[in-house]
Amino acid sequence: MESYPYPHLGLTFHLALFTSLSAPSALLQRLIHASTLPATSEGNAARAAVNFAFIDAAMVSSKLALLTAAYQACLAEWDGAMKTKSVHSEVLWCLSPGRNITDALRYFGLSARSKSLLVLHICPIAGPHASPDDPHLPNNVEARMRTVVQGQLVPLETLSSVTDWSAIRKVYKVSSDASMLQIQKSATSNEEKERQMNIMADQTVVSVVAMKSV
Amino acid sequence: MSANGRPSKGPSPTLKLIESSTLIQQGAEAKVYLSPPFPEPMLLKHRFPKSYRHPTLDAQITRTRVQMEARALVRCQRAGVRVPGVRLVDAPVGVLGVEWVEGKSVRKVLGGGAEEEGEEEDVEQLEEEAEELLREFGITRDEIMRLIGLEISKMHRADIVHGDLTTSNMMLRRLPAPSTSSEIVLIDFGLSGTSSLVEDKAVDLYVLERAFASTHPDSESLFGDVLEAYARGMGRAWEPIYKRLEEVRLRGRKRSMVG
Repeated sequence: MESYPYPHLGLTFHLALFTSLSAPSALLQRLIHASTLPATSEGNAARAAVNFAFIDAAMVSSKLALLTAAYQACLAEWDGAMKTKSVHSEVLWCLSPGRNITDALRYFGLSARSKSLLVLHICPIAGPHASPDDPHLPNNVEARMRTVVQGQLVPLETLSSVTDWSAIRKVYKVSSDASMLQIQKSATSNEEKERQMNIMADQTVVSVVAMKSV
Repeated sequence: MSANGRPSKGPSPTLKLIESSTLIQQGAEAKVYLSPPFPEPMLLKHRFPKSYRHPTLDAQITRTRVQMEARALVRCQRAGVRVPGVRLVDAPVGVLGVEWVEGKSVRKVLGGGAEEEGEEEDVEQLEEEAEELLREFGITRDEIMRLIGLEISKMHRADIVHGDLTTSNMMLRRLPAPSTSSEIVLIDFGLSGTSSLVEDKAVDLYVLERAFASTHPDSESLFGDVLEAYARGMGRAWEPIYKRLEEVRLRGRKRSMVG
């Protein structure tokens, strides 16, 4: 898991990649169930335990794309301009190119078909004198993630190996962009073209995500 | 409630980010900063509030300009034009964050002096520095002109006009290893817009032609190389644009006869 503090937001983004998921459906059911529980201490505790953004890692073109979406989500929260109920669900909406919330959750969120998961936790930056069991400390956040997700926690560099580039190109509609066609027409190997197209797709995705608010 | 309708609870996070960034350029419209790494350093363009405008209008104008610039950049990117990627947009605050382009201004590489009035620079020294840079990048003036022409043609084919084509708004950047060549990156789309009009594209070229004449008088003839590469990129669209360019030349500088 990696932690990215943003002092100007007063928040830290804790990000982890899990592969070899053993029970995505069960986790999905748990999330749905927790969201339907009433606002009792039991209900709140259930929601707090799964208070993460669960993102289908195959749909994320790069760590930068996700961090960009997370920043814009936090900006929307600060502005009181969120389209969804929580900053974590807002991240999913920010990742999605469209305006439909259900589509965003469906395409980018955890589903029964998910093979790998990016788990993001946005919380206040842990203070310099935090006690060892402070929930905002990275090791405690990671421990909570491990309790909730049944899978293997791997380094974030592994993300590029689980990316589904054709799905990404489809959702963000980049296949017919002149930028992509330019690469296809270039005189290099198919492998090299593929590599360059993926880089270009990621660059487009990051820009599209960053400017969604306008 | 503040002027732009935002809940007032202290400075916005983006403004706090600006505070921890390094100012690198101050213009009449915007201040430009280099941000700390989040996760990479980026260029922040802040269209600060103008006291000479009515606050409601100011907020509206600022928001619209950020929006236009962001959209132009993404449209260019998708059209295959080399531009910095968009990284952060906070329109109500007037901030646009873009990819930091590590390279040298084409103005410098062609021996032009500093844009703002500074100490008088020795022309010979500038030329020497320019030669040094050309060697460093392993590129010739001719090649740079060709690259410039090509990028502008891609931009115009996507019906985007830059609005302020000068060599200060072009960067020369090395391509990542293992490549040993470089690329041109067009920057600062603050005055850009969409247009399919031959007139606007001709004026766009004319602005660059005048910039060459005033900033790089010895390179004036090289502008022909720019037009040649541009013509190749534009194909059949070149003819009407060239005709209009000749008319614009006769009129005078930056004369768009529309509106």
